[in-house]
Amino acid sequence: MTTTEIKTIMPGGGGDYTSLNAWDLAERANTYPTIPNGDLVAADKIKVAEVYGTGNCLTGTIPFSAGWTTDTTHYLEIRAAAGHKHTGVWSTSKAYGSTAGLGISTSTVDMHITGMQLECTANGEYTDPALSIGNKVVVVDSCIIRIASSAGGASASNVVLASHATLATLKNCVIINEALTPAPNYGIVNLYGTMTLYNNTIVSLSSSSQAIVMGGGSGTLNSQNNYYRANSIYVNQGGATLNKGANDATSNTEAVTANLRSVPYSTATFYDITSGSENLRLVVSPSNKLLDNGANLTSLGITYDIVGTARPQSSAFDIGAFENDIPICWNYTARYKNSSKLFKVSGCGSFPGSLNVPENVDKSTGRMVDDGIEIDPDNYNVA
Amino acid sequence: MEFLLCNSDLGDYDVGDIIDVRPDGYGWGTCERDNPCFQLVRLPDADLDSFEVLKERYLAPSVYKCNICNKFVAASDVAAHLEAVHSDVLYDVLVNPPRRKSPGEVGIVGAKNRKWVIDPQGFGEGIAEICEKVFANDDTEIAYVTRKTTSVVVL
Repeated sequence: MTTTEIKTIMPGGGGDYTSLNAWDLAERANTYPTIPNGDLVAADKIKVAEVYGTGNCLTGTIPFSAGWTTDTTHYLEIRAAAGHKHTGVWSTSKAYGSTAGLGISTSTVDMHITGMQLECTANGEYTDPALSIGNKVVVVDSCIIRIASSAGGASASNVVLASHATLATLKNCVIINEALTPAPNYGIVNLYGTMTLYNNTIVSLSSSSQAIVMGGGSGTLNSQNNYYRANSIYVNQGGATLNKGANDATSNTEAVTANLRSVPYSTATFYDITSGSENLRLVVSPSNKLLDNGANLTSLGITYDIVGTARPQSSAFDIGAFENDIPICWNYTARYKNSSKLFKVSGCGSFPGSLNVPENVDKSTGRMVDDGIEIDPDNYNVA
Repeated sequence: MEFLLCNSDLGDYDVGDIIDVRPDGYGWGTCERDNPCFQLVRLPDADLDSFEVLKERYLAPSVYKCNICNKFVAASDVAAHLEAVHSDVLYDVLVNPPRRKSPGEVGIVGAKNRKWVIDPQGFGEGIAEICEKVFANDDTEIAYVTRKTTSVVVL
């Protein structure tokens, strides 16, 4: 039976390790000599690094380039510890890793990365993405991955690079390239591998940005329920296979479905698009096309969003990393004690902090004058 | 400053390579403090430089490994190395117009990060040298350049 070994990564001290770098080095070495070369398959193990939000967990590149033997059921997992996962907005008080160069490079290991924040603050072309995926199976779930606005580079920068991935799956992630120069800047570059993107919000901000770049002529992209913001969304530089999702939405006119084209990257769609502190939760509005227009991906294992909200919340999946759990339209009914009278209010969007109450209701107490008698409500929560 | 040093052959790291640099009194993890793979030493000399400069100096990748010819190349020489040795694979001719490949696409993706070492090995309390390991193009070490001599304390 496969056993799971968990180590704590506490950058502020008090755990097993203070960096993922030290975890990588020591854990593969500690399996030696009884299990040569960090062979998790022979050892029948999964090794987990639980990262705490007490500082930066990266002290340099984590190459995972040698010393591990893994497969799809014996892998490395990097995940935010309970209570230390981001809340959908970048925060250095939650589990995160930030580097001035290449961040995590999975290279030759099977790996799962869950609930983490990964950032590159200085970028030089393809060599320094926040996440570089090698030639094994990698699953990235519910992460915020970004190139910071301060980053610069040789001629281009990208957030995620899949160089030779056997299969890379990114789901429920926010992937942002905030760098405005140099241009073009990319969200994801997939050179040769097979990549599956489910319910991600992928944003690249530069003036000649590209969201997905397929190169090498042999890669495959399967995309569903993603929102893309870039000047060019699906870019195929060779003979790659681009399976565009009918339920993808785009900031330009490239979306397959007409209704999902030209969805603005603005506060009409998202809570906050301020560079560096983006909150890409969906604005609750009947006009927001990302609400309830996604395909049902339950059968593909998509059952929650980036912050753990169950999918779907209503009749259909939302598009992007967040699943809205606020009713788009609502009814509010209060029944008063000793009365058959009902206080009814309806609206659309977020539940308001104040309501226009009927004239026979005392707004300071919620009491309603009913046939000359003041009646107290069962509950009165409306300001 | 406190240094987490490699104390055994860990593949990417050689004995004596610096894995991490932290300020004095840092709360190292239990698996870092009590691990035959690592050695913790402190350099009491405070005039080495600021913490951030030290981190950049010690941890920033400065030597890259070419995955095509397996030679180490200084970061500043990557472009020249590509032109001189791998010009045949430098361009992607499948696209029109031909696109210049990045170092990552060509194969220069690995950063040999451990440019600096503390020598001599053993890390007993006493005098040590902070050195720069210099590689020739055939991946052989050709020199140690001493940058600083100071005392170390084993934590």
